[in-house]
Amino acid sequence: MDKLLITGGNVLNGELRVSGAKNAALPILAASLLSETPVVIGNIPHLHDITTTMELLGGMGIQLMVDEKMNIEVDSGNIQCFDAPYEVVKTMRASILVLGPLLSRFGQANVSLPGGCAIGTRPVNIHLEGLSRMGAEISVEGGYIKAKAARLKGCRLVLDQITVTGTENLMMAAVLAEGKTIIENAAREPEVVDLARFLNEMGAHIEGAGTPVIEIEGIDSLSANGLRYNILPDRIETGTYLVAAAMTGGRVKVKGTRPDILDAVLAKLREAGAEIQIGEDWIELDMHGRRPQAISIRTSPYPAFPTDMQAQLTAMNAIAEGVGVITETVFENRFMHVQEMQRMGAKIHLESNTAICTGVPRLTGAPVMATDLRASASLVLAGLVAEGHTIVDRIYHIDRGYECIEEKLAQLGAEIRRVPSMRFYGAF
Amino acid sequence: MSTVGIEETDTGFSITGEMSLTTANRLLAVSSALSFNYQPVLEIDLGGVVRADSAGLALLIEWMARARRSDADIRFLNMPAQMREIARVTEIDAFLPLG
Repeated sequence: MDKLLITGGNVLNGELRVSGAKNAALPILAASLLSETPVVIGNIPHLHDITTTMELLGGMGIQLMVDEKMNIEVDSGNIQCFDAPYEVVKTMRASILVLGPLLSRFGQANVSLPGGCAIGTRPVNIHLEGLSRMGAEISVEGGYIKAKAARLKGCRLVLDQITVTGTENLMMAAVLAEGKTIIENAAREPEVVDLARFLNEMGAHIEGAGTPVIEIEGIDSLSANGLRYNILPDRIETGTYLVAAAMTGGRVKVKGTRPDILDAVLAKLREAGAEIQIGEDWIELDMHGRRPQAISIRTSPYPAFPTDMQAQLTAMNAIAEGVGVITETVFENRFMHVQEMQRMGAKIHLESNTAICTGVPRLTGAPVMATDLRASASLVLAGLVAEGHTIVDRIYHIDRGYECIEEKLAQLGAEIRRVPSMRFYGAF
Repeated sequence: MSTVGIEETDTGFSITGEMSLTTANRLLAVSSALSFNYQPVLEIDLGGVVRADSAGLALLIEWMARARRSDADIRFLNMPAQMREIARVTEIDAFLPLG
């Protein structure tokens, strides 16, 4: 297992370019199953989850071609099987996203249930109930969801709770259903909007993506017709680097991003004392060497403050001036980074779903363990401002969501390097 | 000549070769660079230990102390019979968390 070795204390300065959004790339790759002709998807981040998705699609007999710029041509004209096996799904919950497209286009799917999750329960019942209401016959056998349908039928779906992958799965299923589907209480995340835009460019009829009510008029078939589609930029990666700059008192310009999908995060960073300038596709944050002010946040579905930025803001509060209160309302077990930060000297009091952080002037480096993707990122950020060395272990989590994080941070002036798993043999 | 190896695993690390007076100091130095903060439990696989003496056992006790300082639980797996015998004779077998 690789680790990240960070020597804290450097102020971050410079520019970097963010990658495409993993959380948009995964559903869009799954949505390519709906097209009868090849489609080219660009701005795909080079991440482990993308490789896993390609393995999943490849296992179905789908042809994938990757060029040197990580554009992926997906040709699902010759699909041979309709299975998402446990071995793949257990490593990446997003595999469930193939369920809707497979069922909608091919009338069958055999997808392993995802199982447990480190940050909380993320049930797939909303996906299954929605598909059942559209006419699918669904059973769970041997840990697998077995779904069949002659042709799905459009209907009104009111989601019990806001779910991003649930909205995406049902939206993809509805594209080739008979008649109109209305999804109420839909997720409004930009990645849902990006998926709808991708589907519409292939000929789907989707309206309302980005609002709580999405209407999909089903059509008979979908064809990419040589479409080349670029994934939207990763707003969480963008936010993470901005927080890194804020924590170190530095100045960083993030390019190739979308300021309009980061309103809640930018507002909080301004509240922390950052000077922020934005352009059409860039954001520049300047702390002028100041220590950030502690801020209070409450996570909620988009457009409110994203749960995927909570851990990074916790890290910022750990070294900020004052007391900040962070309330997590989306996932029930998403403060696992707090214990690790406490080992670095952070003063954080946890009470149920709330973390009360009293900022300290400096953290101290320590060996810490990553427990999930965003928690890992927050520990890296903490390491950037800690005195001495921080070793972040189990960074396979971070590799699932951040493309070349150590290279990008080093480009901004951080002292960070990847060290391989230790192995020592000696003779005496 | 005595040889020894230490290698990180998903849940801790494994030792191969000799854990003796000759190798213990070096093993201690190398292991000091390792994280002991494994959750829920740090596992040290001793299945590859070909010979041990009391210095090797002292190293296990040092690792137990270090795990405690890191708020981690520790477990020694696959301890060879010869090592168990020394632990029994020196009456520390009751303290060793064997798995």
